[in-house]
Amino acid sequence: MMALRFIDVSVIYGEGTPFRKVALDSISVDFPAGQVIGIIGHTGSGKSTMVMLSNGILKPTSGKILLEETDIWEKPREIGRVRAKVGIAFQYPEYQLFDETVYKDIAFGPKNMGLEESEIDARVRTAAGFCGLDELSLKKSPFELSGGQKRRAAIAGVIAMDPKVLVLDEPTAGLDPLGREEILGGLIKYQKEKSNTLLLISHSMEDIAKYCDRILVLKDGKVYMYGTVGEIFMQAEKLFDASLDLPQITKLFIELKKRDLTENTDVYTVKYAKKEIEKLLFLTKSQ
Amino acid sequence: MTFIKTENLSFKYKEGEPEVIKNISLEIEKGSYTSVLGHNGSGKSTLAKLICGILQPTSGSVSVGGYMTNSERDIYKIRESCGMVFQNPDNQIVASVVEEDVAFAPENLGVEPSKIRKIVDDCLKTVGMEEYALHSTYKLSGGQKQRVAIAGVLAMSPSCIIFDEATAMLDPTGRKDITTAMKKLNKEKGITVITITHYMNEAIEADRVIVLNKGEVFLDGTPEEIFSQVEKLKSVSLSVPQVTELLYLLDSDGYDFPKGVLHTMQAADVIEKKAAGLKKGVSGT
Repeated sequence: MMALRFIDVSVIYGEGTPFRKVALDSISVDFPAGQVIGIIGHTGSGKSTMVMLSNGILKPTSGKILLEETDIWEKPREIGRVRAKVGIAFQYPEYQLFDETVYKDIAFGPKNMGLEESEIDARVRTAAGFCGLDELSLKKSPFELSGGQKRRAAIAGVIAMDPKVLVLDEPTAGLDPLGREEILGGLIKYQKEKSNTLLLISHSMEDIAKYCDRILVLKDGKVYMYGTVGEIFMQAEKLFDASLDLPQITKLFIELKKRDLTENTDVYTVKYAKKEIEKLLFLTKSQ
Repeated sequence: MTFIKTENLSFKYKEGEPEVIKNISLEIEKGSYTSVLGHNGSGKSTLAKLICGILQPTSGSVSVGGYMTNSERDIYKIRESCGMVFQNPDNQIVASVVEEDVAFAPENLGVEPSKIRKIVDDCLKTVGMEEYALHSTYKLSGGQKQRVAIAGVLAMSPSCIIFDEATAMLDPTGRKDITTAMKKLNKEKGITVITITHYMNEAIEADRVIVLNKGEVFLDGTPEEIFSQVEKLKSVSLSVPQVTELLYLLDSDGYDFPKGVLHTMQAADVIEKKAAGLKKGVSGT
């Protein structure tokens, strides 16, 4: 089953002005339900445009977007329903915090969906749990929190709406490595438990390699590559052409292959790399 | 020659709150390239703002190029010589057209218009944004905006630039472009560069790495010295480059690899050497 489908979607900004820009050029792509899909691409490749299209903040110039096989623009008046199903956490979502307490801020979405008080409470607490916020911070003003905690509070606000598709636009930008791991770890746990679909936009190839099932690579508003993590990172040259990078550990194995030390370049995580190097050293020894 | 000097520098935002910077005494050489690491809340950005004179010390002092940041008379001299690039370029861009934004500082410094033209063109070229000179700033992507912000700082021809997580919003190429620009400014123009970052791959490019933790200097040394201390870095929520971690893990399992290997090529070299050594060892017996 596909959670979200883009069919021949184009977006043109500033049509009829000298600043006309084709942000997305007739792209067709399917996002399978229950998977974590990484979206990568150079700045200006169309990632953020895709994010805005996914829940109808932006209307495509042409083409269709299907959410669970229904065109989201079929009944424009009911676009609000789509927005409850597709949750977006924008870049730097902490700038959107506004309420008196973290609890109220997280409750804002579910409240506007017209849920019962007890259901709202349960959702706020579950969402806060996945994002690593404790009871004490729920009572605080969002502005008393540290940067990393603010980010968690803002993401929890989206999770509390329990969206079918969760879209995260660089959720860890500006966080330290531990903060990155905690937030992404929590989100993946949430995704696995609810088997929702997660679209993760990130510039960190290491994070993409670690957490995603599939990768969509955008270039100049077009689908440049789309496949499993292995399929994408295997094509190093092609990624470099799109001015993207590989995880450092993959680069190491490409170099080792050049030196005839290994055949395997499907290495994306340090854990797996360690096993491979051990094997390599063991084989050399026993040769 | 010392360019920036902090002496017993302490700072807190409000009376009664804990100190964010605790008794830091540091010297930063003119023309050096320093990277400052630390987890969120470790005091990195506060330190940067203290150096630029945006914040004033609670106790202790900061001097930049011989001027004290707490002297009202000298503060403009410091701001002319010490530029800052922030994480979010939206906080820093003031004009609606790219070239006007870059021209803002020299205009305010009273530079001749004909010279401003040249300065603006040069600075946009340095950051690779010359094609966008006449574009509106708000329509640029995050990475492009950041490059304009850097050009805006460059236009003041400062002797020192502090980058406060200036690459956090950029894609890998954008990040590489900015890191290359930093290196170029440092090596070719002799500008003192201080870069605050969470990206270890960026920190390894510096000549010196300072790690802050809870407002204190936790580690201070060359990238090799710092990144060989994997456990210590992990204890303060930081990580090391992937190849460094790989060799560290193998080393702790008894494979005996050197510590503090930072670059892909270096790592490939030591693994190749190791494999060759093992082969030799076997054929020798």
